[in-house]
Amino acid sequence: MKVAVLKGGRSLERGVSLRSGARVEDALERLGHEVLAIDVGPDLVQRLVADRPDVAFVAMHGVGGEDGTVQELLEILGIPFTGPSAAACARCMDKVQGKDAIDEAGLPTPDWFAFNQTAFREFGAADALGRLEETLGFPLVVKPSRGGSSLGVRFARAPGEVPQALVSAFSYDDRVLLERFVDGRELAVSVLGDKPLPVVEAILLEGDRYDFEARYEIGRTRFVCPAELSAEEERAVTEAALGTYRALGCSGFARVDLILDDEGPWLLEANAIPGLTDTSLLPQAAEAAGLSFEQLVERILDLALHPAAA
Amino acid sequence: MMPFRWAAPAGALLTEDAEAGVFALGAPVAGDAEPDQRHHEDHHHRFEEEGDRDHDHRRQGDDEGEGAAAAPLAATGPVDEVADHDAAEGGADRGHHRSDNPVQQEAGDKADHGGEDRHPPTGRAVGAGGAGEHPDRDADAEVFQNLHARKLTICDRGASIRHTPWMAEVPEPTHRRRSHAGTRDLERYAGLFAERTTVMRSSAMRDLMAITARPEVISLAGGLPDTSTFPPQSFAAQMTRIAQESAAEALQYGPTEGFEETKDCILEVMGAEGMLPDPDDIIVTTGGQQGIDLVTKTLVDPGDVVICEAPTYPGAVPVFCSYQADVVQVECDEDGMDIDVLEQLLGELRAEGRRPKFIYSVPSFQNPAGVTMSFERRQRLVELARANEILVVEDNPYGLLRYGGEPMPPLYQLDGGDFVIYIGTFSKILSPGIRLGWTVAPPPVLEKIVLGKQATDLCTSTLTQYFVREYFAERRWQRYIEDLIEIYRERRDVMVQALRDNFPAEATWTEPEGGLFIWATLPDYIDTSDLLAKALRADVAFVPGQAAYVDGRGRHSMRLNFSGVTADEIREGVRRIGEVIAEQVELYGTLTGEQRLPPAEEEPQPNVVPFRKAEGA
Repeated sequence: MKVAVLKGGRSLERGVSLRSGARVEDALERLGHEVLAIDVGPDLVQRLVADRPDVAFVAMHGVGGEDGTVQELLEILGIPFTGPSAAACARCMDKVQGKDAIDEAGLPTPDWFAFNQTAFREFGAADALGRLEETLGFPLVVKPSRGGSSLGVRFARAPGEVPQALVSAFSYDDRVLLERFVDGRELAVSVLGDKPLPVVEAILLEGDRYDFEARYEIGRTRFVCPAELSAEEERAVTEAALGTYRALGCSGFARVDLILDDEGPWLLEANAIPGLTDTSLLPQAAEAAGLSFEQLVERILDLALHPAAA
Repeated sequence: MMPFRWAAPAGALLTEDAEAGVFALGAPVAGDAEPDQRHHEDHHHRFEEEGDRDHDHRRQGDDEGEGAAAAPLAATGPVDEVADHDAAEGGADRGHHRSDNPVQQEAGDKADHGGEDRHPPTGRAVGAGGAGEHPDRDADAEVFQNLHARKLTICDRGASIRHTPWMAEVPEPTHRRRSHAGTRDLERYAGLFAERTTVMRSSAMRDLMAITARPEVISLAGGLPDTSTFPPQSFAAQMTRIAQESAAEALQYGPTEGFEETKDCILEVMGAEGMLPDPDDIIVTTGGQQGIDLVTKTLVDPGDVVICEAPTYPGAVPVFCSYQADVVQVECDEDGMDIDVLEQLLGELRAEGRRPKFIYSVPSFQNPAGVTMSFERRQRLVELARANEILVVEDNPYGLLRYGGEPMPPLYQLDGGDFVIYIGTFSKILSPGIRLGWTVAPPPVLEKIVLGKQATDLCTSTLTQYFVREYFAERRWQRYIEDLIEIYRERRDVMVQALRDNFPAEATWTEPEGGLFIWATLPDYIDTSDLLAKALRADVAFVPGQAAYVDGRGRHSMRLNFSGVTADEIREGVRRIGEVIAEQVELYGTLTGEQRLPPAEEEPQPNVVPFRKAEGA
């Protein structure tokens, strides 16, 4: 089968995407497919039209590749592709849209407020910050609405830190959200074809639990899969993740991030195209479920070509 | 003022493509740094790809394997005496390689290989115009055609490898760049990694910097000298002369310390700054970067203290970290490292019973800050080193690139070479591509450095040492530097003017008297890593200041390079950066409810911006 692997592009996560793409290409070749590697640029449509692949494997992260743009083009060209639809990608990419959908589905997500720059520039939203801070409490989390990785995510421990955190978040998107901080276990549930894979937990290796920034630095976190959860916790977590997957209209695969505290799971967001590098969480979870990377790639292709098989 | 400390094994990471200045940083782990200065404020997004380590297992070049394995650790002496196993097989025909006629020589080569015709005749070979005759353009073209034809022949595997019984059991090489071993890639290798690799990491910032390589991006993030003015004809003539006159030697191993002729060139360069070292104290290295590595390898045990400037050369930090040094940074101001702070630090370390192994400094036109250490501080630094019997490692890649002001004596000259190890390079005055640098050290230290270098790479490229020899023989090297100075001075001036025109009044920047970099500091509510993301959307890049600190400081500063970009690119690049800064400034004003007034009355806050306030701003 002729498989186009779409990777790279211009997003800030280009690097990860290239690593995901390279790994997928390797696996596809080992599986005996004809691989057409495309570093996505202005000639994308021309190349797809000229080379006519049977299916496109989208290994792109961030704006452009994960937000539905590329998916929309593939839908227009009638080329089946891996991962969620254009519409689902757009919902996952935008945290505000995502949280709206999660909330409407009756699933728990930490309280939040979203603003765009216009609100501050033209409507004096700054004057509402005090009230908002009262509702959310401190610390609070400030995030760009559409941003990949953790870029631009900031904590504010006190009112004085909010403006600077907003400036950082606005560097990545015109819309930001301020979200209540939930103190709990950090979990990720990858979903493959409507079925949850084993839960991954990120565990801090050392340090003060209220020392937010230090807590989440690279190298001080260990990933455990499957996470040690009671049967009840596991059921609650996977159900919440599956509910989110459906609420956002995902298909193929996605990864749902959430926090578990005494009250239960709090859903944060879904990633439409989680990383596929050798340290990424989806492949780790698949492996914990007994799927090799090739098997994972093959399954993802199957789901793209035969959506009903999910 | 307390210097910041940082425990290397826990932390991370700056990697820089050596002197090219393309870097990336990961999250430093703060031993006892101020909490508000830590970065990667990632909470809910820990599952993203940020933690992705780049464990590429690219195949190592195996071409060095045999020679290295065959090399016993002899202290000094030409490598070919101790390590050249070719000598046993092919030593007998050494003489005939001296043939002045390359065509004859090629014929001879074929005869040596039992007549096996590995390279079908491809017409005239390199330098076919005859000994001593410089090739004209047509000859050059023909040479390239021949090389091309030959390359194609060599690529034909069947023609060059004989079939042997074991061939059937050896897997066919694939054309893929690398081949993953299947699943569990990381796990397969992770258990084998050395402890020190925990400080060698990739990060989201690294990915961000990778984007700066897009062709449409004006990159002020580099650290490249401009090599475009080096005349190709001269290069061709010099290399041709080497091919005609010294092909065999230039293709051979050389002494670990480097050739005497290379050292003669080094003496000329150092002499131009008033230094006169003993040639026996010099080792030629693979770029100045290797000097930093070898000195650290020689002096540092895990946990030892290395002192450097704050900010410091980002490419030095991964070296110190890879030897698990405890890196301590001492504040810089416009006169370089603050020696009072250094003195206080040395006292504290003494009280703790620790003696730092060395103080790393770029005293002239510092990378990244662009500042130059004052004469008085230079004197105090070498006195302190002498009194405390610790070494100063003086890294001086830009010393000759002075565009204004009075020359400063290098630390090496002030000290006489007792407690100063000097690191120099041809990268900025000739070419970084030739990878030629040098280290000057007291004899006992040099002896260990030589052993270290032998273990690392046996010797520095013989070929490029021959090139430098040829180049210096033309006696135009100083002229070339003068040309570079003209070019860089103009670019610096253009950049300074562009900063005045485009940066907000709260910003400060250094106005360097030489070197390649300007260090700009913005209001403290602007984080330059975030700003970079915004700047990249405007197709312009710089290096966020954090890359030059080991403890998360530098968040409001940026390094701007003016040597590797044209005046127009500088103007446009700085204009675009100024635009995104202006947006941030305005937004912050809106958020805090302050209407930003025309900032003429506003003074920069002391201590936030230790550098010179730009005039006219």
